[in-house]
Amino acid sequence: MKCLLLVLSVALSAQPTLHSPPLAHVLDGEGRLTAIYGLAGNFIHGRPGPALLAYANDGDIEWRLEPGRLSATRDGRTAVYATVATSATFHGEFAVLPESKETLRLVGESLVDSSDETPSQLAGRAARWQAGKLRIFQRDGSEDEIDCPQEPDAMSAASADWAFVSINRRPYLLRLTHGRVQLFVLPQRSRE
Amino acid sequence: MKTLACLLLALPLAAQIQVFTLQTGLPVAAGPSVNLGTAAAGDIFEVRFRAVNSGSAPLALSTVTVSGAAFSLAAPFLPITLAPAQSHDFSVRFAPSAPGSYSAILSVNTFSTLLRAAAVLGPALFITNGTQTVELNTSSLQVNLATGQVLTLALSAGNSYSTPLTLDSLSLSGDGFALVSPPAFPLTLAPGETVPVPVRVTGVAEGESAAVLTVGPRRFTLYALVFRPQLAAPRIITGDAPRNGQQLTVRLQLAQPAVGPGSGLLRAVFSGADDPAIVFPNGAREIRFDVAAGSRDATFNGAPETVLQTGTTAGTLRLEAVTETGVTTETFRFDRAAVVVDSASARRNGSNLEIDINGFDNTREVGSLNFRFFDRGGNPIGGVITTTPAELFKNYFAQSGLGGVFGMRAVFPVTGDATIVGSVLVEIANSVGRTDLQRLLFP
Repeated sequence: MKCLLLVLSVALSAQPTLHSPPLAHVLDGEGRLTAIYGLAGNFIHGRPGPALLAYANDGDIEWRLEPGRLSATRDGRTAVYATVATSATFHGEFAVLPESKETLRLVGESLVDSSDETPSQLAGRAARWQAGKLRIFQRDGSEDEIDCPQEPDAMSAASADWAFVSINRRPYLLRLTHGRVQLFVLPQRSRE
Repeated sequence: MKTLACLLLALPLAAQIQVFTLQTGLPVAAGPSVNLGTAAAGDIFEVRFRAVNSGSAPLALSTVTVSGAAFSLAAPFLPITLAPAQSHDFSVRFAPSAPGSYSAILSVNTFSTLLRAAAVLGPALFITNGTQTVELNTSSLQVNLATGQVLTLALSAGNSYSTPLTLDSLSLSGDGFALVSPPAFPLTLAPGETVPVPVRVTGVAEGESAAVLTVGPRRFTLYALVFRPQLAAPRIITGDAPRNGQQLTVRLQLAQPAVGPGSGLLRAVFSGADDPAIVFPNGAREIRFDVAAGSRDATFNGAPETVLQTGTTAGTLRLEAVTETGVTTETFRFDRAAVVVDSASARRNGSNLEIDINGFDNTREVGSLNFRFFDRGGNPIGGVITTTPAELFKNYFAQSGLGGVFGMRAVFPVTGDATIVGSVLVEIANSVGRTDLQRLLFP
């Protein structure tokens, strides 16, 4: 009872703070890193940032491929790897550079060559398209399935709960939350 | 004086008439006789001629006559004066009523030539439209079609006589016209027999075009009047009951299939506080749509439907489908409503209890928040904790630029044992009503 009173006495003085964290980060049609704000299905583009060759962010690791370098940032610490690669795919702590057939793994604060099998990860989940359905295998073993008539061209993590999906070269955002998996059209940035 | 007299005497002699036929389009000097070719009995066949003053002085063109059965001038001749090098065109009409050989004398001032022509039995030409087949009684046919439209004329040639009819040729000349799977020629039609000679007409460019269809001895002129199609304003069909916070699917459908291809604009007009989320996939509040010839359904960049983000602000949304012939509209009202929560979570962060709520308030007037904590056994801990952050929300909405969207974090510092807190119930109220969140569990 003494503890409860202590909790309440402090809680009564609490005040909320309001903020607008981005839902996700994606590369826009011109390859520029852009934060996406708003809510599911009501997306608003932030100001475009630097142009990148490839990008992924699963809420744990942020991968960036820029001309001359690949970087991975986790917990505020960044590991850098010099490369001439112009494309990359990212799967959790693994980065695959298809041109040089290299697979790199973020270990601590370093990017090291890896011969491990690359997991099929999308913000901690696995995604599989088959016969017009997109199935998301959640971390806890549960599955979600949505209609997706066309096979995605590409998918990459955009935040802890969102993935950027390209279908027929059109951009979408895929909500990955269990029970609420849904594909939304990602509008282009408004013309200013 | 002697020289002048010679010149005056020479001038009349310099005036002289020359006659040309224009059968092939190019002028060919007419000789003592001109063969006008063969026509089908019953047809009217015209040949153009040109009278030219090839002298160096004005010439009175006083006489143009044609005499002979089945021949006539296409238009009455009126005497005129031709300046040097000036010409006058006229047409001779050949209208044989029965097969046979025909001749006539064409006289132009002092020039005369023998016109010769033949008439044979020719096929009848029919056109079928749906289940109705009619014979073309004139030697020309006009069709109207839109640019980009393709029409197939169901023409057929038939033998209306009691004896077999042999046709030696089939041809079609003219841009935008083509024979479709023509039969092999020559061919013989039995009495009463017909053979399809379908012609495809393509509306290539706005304006008029023509082609000559030759079936044996008969010639038909096909005219195409190609017009720019005007798309009717389509009906607006939405996929769901429109409300704030959704991607509204929109389709457009015409009442009738489009005659030709066309395009228009689908526009979203919002009356309410500014909300940048209200856009089509192109990031704008208007998007082009196209309708293919023969289709009722519009496409958006190739897709059969588009989506519109409806934003998170109360107001009135009007959709306008605009074509050059008109506008159709659908209006949806987004009433002021209680707060909608998209996601919420509770967690411990050190000695703090943190509650994150993401949602939208289309009134932008959140007035109060109630929190009620429970222990791990589900028993309430104390009473309801109420905050009234109206001013905080008002300032936030004024500068966020995200419409009615908000992300809120309520932090409750705890100096005691925070682990006894198991869950929390949250209520958010605005001027319209109260939203109760599902119980949030502290992991």
